Amino acid sequence: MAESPVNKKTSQSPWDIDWLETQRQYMDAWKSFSRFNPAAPDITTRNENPWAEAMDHWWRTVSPSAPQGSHAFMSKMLEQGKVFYMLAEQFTRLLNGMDQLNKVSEGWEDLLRQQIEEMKTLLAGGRDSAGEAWHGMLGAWQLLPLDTLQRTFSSASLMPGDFLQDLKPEALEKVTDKFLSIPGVGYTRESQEQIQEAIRLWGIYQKACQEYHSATSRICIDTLDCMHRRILDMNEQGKELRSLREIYDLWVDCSEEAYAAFTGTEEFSELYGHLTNSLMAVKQHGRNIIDEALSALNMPTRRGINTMQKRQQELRRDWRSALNRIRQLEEKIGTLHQPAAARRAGGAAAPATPKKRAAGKKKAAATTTKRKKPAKATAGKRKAASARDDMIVIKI
Amino acid sequence: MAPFQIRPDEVIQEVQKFNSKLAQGIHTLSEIGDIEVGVSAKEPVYCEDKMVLYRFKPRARKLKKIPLLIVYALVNRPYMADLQDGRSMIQGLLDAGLDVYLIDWGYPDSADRYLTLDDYINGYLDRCVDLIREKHGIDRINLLGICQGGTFSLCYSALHPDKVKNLVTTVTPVDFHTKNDLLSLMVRHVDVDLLVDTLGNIPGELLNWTYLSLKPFRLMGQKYMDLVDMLDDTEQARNFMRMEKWIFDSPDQAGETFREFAKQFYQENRLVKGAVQIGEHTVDLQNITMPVLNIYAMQDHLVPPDSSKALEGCVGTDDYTSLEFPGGHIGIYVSSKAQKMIPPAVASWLSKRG
Repeated sequence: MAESPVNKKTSQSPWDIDWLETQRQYMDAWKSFSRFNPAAPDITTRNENPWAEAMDHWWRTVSPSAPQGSHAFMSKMLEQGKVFYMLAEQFTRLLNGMDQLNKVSEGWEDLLRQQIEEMKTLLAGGRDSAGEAWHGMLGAWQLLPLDTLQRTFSSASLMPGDFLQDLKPEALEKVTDKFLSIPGVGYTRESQEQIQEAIRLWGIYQKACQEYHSATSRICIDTLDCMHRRILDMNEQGKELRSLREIYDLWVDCSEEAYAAFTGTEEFSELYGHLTNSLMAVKQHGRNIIDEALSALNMPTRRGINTMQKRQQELRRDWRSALNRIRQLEEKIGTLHQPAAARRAGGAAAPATPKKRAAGKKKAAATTTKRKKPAKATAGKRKAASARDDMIVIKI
Repeated sequence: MAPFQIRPDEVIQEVQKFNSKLAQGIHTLSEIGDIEVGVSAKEPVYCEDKMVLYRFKPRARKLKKIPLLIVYALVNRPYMADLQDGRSMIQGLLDAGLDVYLIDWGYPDSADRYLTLDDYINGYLDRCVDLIREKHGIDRINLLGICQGGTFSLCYSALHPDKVKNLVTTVTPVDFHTKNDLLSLMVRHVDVDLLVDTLGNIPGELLNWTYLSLKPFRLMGQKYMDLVDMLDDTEQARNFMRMEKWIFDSPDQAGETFREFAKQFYQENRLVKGAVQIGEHTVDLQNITMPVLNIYAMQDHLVPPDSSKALEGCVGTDDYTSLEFPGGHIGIYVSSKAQKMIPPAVASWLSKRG
């Protein structure tokens, strides 16, 4: 292994580098570069994650000239990059600590345990930038379904997913019991009740969110436990981690393992169902309110359009059925117009006539239905279908 | 001794290299241009509403007598089976002398909200099959179903066994309640009626997210870290973006069809019970008496192998063959391993059965 410039400093550990200072130097380099670009935004503040800031700064600089279609994609790439920086920072601390230990001592295991615990604390506390980054790792671009669900469902209503965003369950609990129990009175009684119902449904949804968040936060803790376990196993098996990328891949493997363990449970299935259903209830209620307003203005409502679309599809089905029946009758009439000898010959040779197809279809249906339902019911159903076909032929 | 063999300067270099690769990547992305998909020449032979039936131009001198109709899923787009030159199952089937047709279901909009499974299976699909039968003057054709399209093919073959000569299913869910079926677990407690009544059609974006969330750290994170290493190679980056285009090219799902499929198949697991109701008919897989080739993928995270393998115990045929592919749900169509294995196996199996 080639000796690095850092290793040449024998008076101190190679890990005695100031990680943050290194990152800031890097960001300064980016800033110098951007001075040549008049479109570059100004950076006046420094945060605790300069690597990420440097990349953000760079992206803000180049994005105006980048192809429009690549914006969303590159933004996602940068988000993933931040996970990489976070791992770099966390594991540099760990490696720095280890370097100060005797290489052959068992102390590294304690240090590893401490570092893992520190990461867990960041996760639990979580509102500073480091904590946010760890939560971002758990989020892994909308791992939690809330953003996607809300964004998707916002389009279903004029009252988007965030219209009651600031109403959190803890605040709600103080007022809901009193407020929601007041009966609506007077001319606006109905609208008062609708608003009360909206708040009640939103409260249920917020509780479902909290339960889901609380359960999924376990995934990150389990991921760290899994990493701890695997690193100890690697040591026993004589395996080594030789790059930051290998640490990242290990983190992904452990995350998937922890995620699969959680999502394979009935608990997850129920939480996910509850979360979706409670949000749907909010959305549907909002849509109903809008429908009523539109109805009052004599404008088309979603409900009315649904009815039209449903009827239209039923008509199309009936039309198809009638068309098939007409074709069958046309063929029958054509056969009747043929001389008797040709009819006999044609009847014996035709392999794929609609008549034969129809017979085949009935046969298949009869076979399947026979097993499940009494013959009488099947015959009745077929008779009804036939009568409907006849009726449509008359209509046409 | 600690299993970390990483020098501090290497960590710094690695992060710097990552950053510069990411920055250079924007230039590569700007050079890629339009992503083309669907490599084999084809022509539409029948259109109805948003559905188009295509026939591929033959690549072999001698064509097999019985044509093959590929039934794709309603989710995502069918060009995945014909992604690019050298990564195309359809190309392989054409090279083997098969006369290939393909159903493209199109992109449903709100006017299609009330399309049902009956409309898709006994309507569109049945009319495509009839058209091919008449065009070729034959009673029965070969069917090949892909994923959900395989489930549709099973239902169709059970309802119209007189029109299907041989049936090939690929990565097809049959038993929807097997262990490790995360997709099934996700939908198990969802009030599907409330979902469809509220949303109408089910947005493709929601389905995308659902599929990615089956393996979120790999599919929404690690995959893009791998891409950073490819960004200095335009061709590799183009291949990646081609797959990316397919993954996020998701049509909305007609609401009523989604309702029926999610409830009858995913929640109630009716297919293996012989209780799926399509229109007025009940689907009994015992009616499938034609030869069946069932291909599944060992590392399939969307359709667990056990879900597909359950078919053997459900069909009425005495000519059942299964083929295990050592890869995943998408790799079975686009990997180089699949090109060598799947089309030749399908063509050979069909040849032996006329």
